[in-house]
Amino acid sequence: MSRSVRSNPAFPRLLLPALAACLLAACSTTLPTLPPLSDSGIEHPGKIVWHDLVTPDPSRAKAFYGALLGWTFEQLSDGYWLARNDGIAVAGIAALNSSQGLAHWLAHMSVPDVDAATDLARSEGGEILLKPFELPGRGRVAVIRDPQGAAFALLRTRGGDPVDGEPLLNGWLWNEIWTRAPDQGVPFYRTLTGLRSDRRQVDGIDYRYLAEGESPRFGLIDKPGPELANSWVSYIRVDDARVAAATVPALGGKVLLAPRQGLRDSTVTIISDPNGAGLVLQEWSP
Amino acid sequence: MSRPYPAFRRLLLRITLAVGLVLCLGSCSPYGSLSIGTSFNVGGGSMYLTPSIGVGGFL
Repeated sequence: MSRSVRSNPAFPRLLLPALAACLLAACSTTLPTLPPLSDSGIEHPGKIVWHDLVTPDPSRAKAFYGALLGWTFEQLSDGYWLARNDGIAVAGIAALNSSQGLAHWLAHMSVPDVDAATDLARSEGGEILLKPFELPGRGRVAVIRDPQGAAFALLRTRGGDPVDGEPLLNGWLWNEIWTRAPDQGVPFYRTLTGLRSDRRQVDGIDYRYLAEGESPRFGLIDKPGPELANSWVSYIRVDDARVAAATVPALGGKVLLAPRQGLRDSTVTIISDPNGAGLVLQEWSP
Repeated sequence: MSRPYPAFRRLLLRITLAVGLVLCLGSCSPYGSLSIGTSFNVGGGSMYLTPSIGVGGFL
């Protein structure tokens, strides 16, 4: 570098933005390349097609879910791990930059156009947490918060959405929005997804859900604890909820609702992982 | 008229570069900067789920 260039007073003013741009470009190119979810070529708008755990402590999370559910992990970048359940990609674990960040399971909802859905969500009272971006290999993603505060991701998959199939043991079973006012949440999701809303009365409980044709995609219920923020909550199918819950404390997690028989025609327990991300474990038989 | 490139500016650039690299390498997670801001915390309150609704699981 010549002395004449370095002595130019404009040099530092140009160099700093240039450095920042280079760093951003470098980072964007080092995002993990994820395997495609499917090559079905079919879209299921409104279906929850993926889950990522965002956490300040991926190592602890991997140890927890590995021991609890038998998942194995493959590192795809400095901050992202792919979890496999019996060899099948089941979830991602994404590091938060801040060690003070709150862990959260992030459900990914299929939409045909992430940018349009993001704009629509904003116009319907939602909040954009992460603007649309390309996730190599996976598709286009954005993270939003619904008008009631529940955060989730929008995803336009590359190659299509997974086809419907029987939930695997130690895999995802169901997804719900736990909110103080389920009825008020329905119009937002109906507008966003184009799904039809329906409800069932069972034992005096009014259960609302959205469906694609005859295939229910997710439900909305009164949140089970008044202190709990309105949240998306995902269910994992387990063989024995009691056994699973019994192992949670030793792994650093918490059992928030002890295993209870008779819920959902099965046995259900609510837990949180060592960094506070919540889940429901449920026994289920076809 | 040009002026000598001050040493402190060179130092500033090096610090900026170092900090930027550290931040960048640490943030190559798709959700590194995500702040959802709510915890799955039930505090001391009781937690309950609705009774059997017949549509749990894989409906």
